[in-house]
Amino acid sequence: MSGLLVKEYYTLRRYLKQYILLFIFFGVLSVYLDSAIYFQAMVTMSMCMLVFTGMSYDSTAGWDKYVMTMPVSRKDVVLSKYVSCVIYAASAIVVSTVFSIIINRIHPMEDGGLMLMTTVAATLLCLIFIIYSILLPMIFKLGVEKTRILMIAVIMIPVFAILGTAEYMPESVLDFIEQHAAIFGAAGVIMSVLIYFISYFISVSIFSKKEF
Amino acid sequence: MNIFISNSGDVPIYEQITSQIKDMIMRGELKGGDALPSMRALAKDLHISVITTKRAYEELERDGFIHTMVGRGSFVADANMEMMKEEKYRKIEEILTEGVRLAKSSGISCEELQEIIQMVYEED
Amino acid sequence: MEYLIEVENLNKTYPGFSLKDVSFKVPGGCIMGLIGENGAGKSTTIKAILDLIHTDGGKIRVLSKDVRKKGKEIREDIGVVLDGASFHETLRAREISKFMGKIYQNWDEKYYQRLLKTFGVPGNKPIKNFSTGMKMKLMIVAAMAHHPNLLILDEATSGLDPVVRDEILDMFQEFIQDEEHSVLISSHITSDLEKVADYITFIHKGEIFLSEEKDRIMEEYGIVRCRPENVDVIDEKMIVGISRGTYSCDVLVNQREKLKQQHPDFMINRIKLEDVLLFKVKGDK
Repeated sequence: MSGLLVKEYYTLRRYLKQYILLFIFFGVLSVYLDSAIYFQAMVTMSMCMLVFTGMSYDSTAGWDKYVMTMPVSRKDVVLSKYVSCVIYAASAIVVSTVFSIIINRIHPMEDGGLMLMTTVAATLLCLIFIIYSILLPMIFKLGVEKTRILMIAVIMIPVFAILGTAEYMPESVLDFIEQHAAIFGAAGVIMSVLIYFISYFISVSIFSKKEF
Repeated sequence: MNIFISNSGDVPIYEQITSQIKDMIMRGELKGGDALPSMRALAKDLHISVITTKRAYEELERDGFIHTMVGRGSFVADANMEMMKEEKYRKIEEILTEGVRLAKSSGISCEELQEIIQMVYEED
Repeated sequence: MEYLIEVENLNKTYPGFSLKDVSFKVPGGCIMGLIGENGAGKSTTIKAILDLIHTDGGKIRVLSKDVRKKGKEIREDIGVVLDGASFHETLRAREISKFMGKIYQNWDEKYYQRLLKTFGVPGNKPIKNFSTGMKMKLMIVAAMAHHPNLLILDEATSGLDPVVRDEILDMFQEFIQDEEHSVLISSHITSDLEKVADYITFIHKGEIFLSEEKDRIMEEYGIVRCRPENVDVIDEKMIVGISRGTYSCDVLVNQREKLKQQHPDFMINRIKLEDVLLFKVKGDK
């Protein structure tokens, strides 16, 4: 399985330059919008898109067929995608948070508090887990292109769901949550990780049936 | 070892190999004890199937021209005058059979044929 | 006799096409050609051997192991070149070794470099700048660098010039110098197989109709063209197939010389591998 990750590195590192330019652009934009959170969110989201790019290239090159002739199990292939996604998300969040803090020192922004940024970082991680828990099995089942089309819906649904519930929840409940923020936070993280695990097993099941 | 294969003729490839090797042995180009290339190496050199070279070597062994030892390879059998002579007899018979067939189909009698043989013998 | 591939009654149904009771064996130390027209089932058969597709019945053993149960283990010891299966085009030969070395236990970096050098494959150029022939050579090098026992190639030589094809065939003959190595190559370029193959298996419309030593086919088989009523005159044991036309019949026989002696008046032709294929395809029409 590690071999697959090394392959990802060598194939995608050529695109890293483009990504760095993109992040610089986001950096500038976030200063303009006076929002460090914006930077964190945009960097993380775009890094995770690498999963799509990677799988799309796999399919175009014929690598997805080729790798199945190697001593690699279908589980390994699925696992490598799930692990990659976490690696992309984690590195994006860490790097973007660090940069946000640095930029904030130089040019303080409205939402530049350390506490806030850490919370945002954790929330982003959970969001990624949830979104990709849905997207990854879709890609394994339907392929990259079809999933891309449905992707907008997939991302929007959890986001709106959360915002919606926040909007319509009674004050008392919101207060209760804020008071026990740590516990709810931890619960949220555990939940999203669990969902990610379940998604992995679903993907393995889907991929085992696939024919090349 | 210089063996030449022709794909176009009617002679099976394995037979081309056996005749050429037999000739080389009888001409003295290959002497008793000389090592022959392995079946696989020969197949690769000639760009032919291993099954062909195997068949050729098996026939050569059957006819007593070579012997193959597992793990060691194939070697030319020690010169056996009796065997060489027998092989020559066989070849002559082959050639004469063709001559006789032609004679019969053209109405040439056995006596006439013998005269021709006499004449050719005396020529050299 | 040790067989490297044993296919027994392989069945696979697709809408519109199916493999029916496909059976054949590949012995050690040989090159077997799998010949069939486009759509005959060559690729499907190979995919089944590689466990890329599920099957509807039959047993397949590779290197004495069941493909379905020990697929991953088997794939350590086989090298595969498939049409449409390749590395990303931005990769360079040097980089490929970095991850292939982690995928295959027996990946031999030095051997890989040597092979690249022998075949003139540049180490530092992105694959997208390779010619078709160069790319194929790379794929074959990648298939051999982990010292497999078995090479399986699907249409690996189509689209290559004769010089490159010759180099590649040479590589295969070198590969089988070891009696425990074999090559299974599917192709519709019969001339290549005529040169170096030891066995040929013919497949047509999902069924195997002949699996035989190549030499026997080239030297002992023949096609007789005769009138329909004369077909019955031919010894049944010699008949491999009959292609009936309105005014004449083509009969594929496996003992050309013997038949010639028995019936000197018959017109019997020597055949090339291509002729066997055409015989079967035309026979269906």
